[in-house]
Amino acid sequence: MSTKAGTKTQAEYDIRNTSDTMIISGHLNLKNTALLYSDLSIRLSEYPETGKIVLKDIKALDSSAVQMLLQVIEENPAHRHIDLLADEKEAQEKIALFGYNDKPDIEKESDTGFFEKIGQQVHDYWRNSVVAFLFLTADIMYWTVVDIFRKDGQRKGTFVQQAIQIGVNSVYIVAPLSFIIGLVLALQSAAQIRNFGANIFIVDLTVIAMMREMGPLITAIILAGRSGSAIAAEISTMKVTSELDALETMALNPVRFVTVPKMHGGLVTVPFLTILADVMGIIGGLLVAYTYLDITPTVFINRMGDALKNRDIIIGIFKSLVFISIVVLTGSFFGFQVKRGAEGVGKMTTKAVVVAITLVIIADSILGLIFY
Amino acid sequence: MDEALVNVAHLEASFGDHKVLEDVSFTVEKGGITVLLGASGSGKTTILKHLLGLYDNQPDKISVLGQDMGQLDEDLKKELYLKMGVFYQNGALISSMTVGENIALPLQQHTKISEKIIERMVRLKLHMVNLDDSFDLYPSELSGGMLKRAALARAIIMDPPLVFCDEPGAGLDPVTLASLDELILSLNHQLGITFLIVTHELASIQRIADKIVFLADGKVAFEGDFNAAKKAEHQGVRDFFNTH
Repeated sequence: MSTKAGTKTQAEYDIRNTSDTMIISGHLNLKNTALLYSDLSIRLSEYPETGKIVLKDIKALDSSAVQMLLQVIEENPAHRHIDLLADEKEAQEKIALFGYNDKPDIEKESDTGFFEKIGQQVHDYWRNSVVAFLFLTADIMYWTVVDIFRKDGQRKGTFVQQAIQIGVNSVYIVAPLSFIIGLVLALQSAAQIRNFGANIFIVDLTVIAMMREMGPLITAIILAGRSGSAIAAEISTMKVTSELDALETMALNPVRFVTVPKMHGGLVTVPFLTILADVMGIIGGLLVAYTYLDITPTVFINRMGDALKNRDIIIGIFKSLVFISIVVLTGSFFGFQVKRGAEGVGKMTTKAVVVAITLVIIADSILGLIFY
Repeated sequence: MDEALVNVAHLEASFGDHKVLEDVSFTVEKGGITVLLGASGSGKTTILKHLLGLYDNQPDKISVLGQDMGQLDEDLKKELYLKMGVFYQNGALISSMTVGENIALPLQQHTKISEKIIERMVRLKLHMVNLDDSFDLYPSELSGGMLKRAALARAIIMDPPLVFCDEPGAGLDPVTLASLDELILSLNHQLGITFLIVTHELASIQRIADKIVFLADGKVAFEGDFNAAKKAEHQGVRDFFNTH
């Protein structure tokens, strides 16, 4: 017979072995369950003939201890049947109460093959992401056009509110960043252009790059981060708090009520915001041209008139309209897709920004090829 | 006299100039179900927060499980938290974790018990609250009643001797509420858990309360059992129990 006491915890227990019986006594509770588990596992490997575990002189017995004993019995190295018994009535009752032994269903082996799984995933992705996005796009675009002429089912003042939120409030970040981008773009080009003595072409480079490419792109990326995330967070929060369901049950279309004002606000203000970005970038270029290449502002502006075509301005504005549509659509799409509360809101907001920036860059390259 | 697990003596509390509690004294006896009730703004939540040690300046007028709440440092407070379960009104399950993960959280964070045993304990507690098939579900996939049961399973996962419940029946239909009451009663009888429950549900109070503490005008207007409450001297108490 051997005795071992758990001395690492305040509440002690004893384990004794006879030929086929293991007797445990003392405090069997949360405080020493972990220690007792490792002690018992070792004991059972030392005494593989054990057929009974008997609880005797038990001072405390809780659910963790009972479940631990069941786990130890299940894992016993000899894989033999071991009975769990108790001397005292109270301990017997605790074993009966806490002895629930649930065997979770072992995951059924899937009959699905590797290629079938891939096919299923592609199909699900196509249906839940691409098709759903196209449907939502169609819905939003339809109501964006229709609601120019219809005012019922919309909240008064939301267009102005959204125009301020998306357009006007972005001026403070779009203007200085565009100025810096224009300045850096001209600065990097100036050194190369001066080597060829083609100083005056800094004007063509800065103006065309800003109007056709950088102005719309910078504005769209800033808006994807600023407004795209806000749209996704707002709509997803509305969804998890059942506000969207409430709108539907009040016979209000959530797309018209929530998304369309944002689309209208964006489509009206963002072209102006883009023109502001263009102008600020060109001012940055003008500053570099004057400082490093001795091109006076008058010369710069005269040359700008020659270099810039109406087509460049229109392409820039057209791009800005496409980009803001992408930002609003992506933000709305991920907002409507949210699942699982607070975490879902965070995830969808992140996705909305990442996907919006990606789609804006892809759209930019496609439009760049079309209008080359 | 039964041993008191919670003892509140002459507790006062105010927010700015507004005095919420003037002189509140009551006890929660071991092995019983005590119900704390009162009108909105009567200070029930303030008392509960005091009992849970959630205010920075705890008065030396409250003892929980033999510990004076005003004298506890952070370590002692943490130790005390492990001996009590708390059931929040809306369940307060973490939405990004499954029901199983939510219930396992205290065990994973505060014990060295292996994951296999933790899973067994979680399944046991889910079985006790009749949520056997909810282990892998997310809170958003549960109904209101299931959410409350899951929250109760989390509150009892550490086998605490004392559980505080903040309006467990709020928003439940009478049938679901009755089954939740049955569950609380069975946990009280089988595990010997002492409950302090804040609730307004009269049917529920009648079913489960061993003792009622009624707050009015910043004081304890009544302390006793359900039948005595119907004949209480305080008009507000009588009105509550006789007009519902």
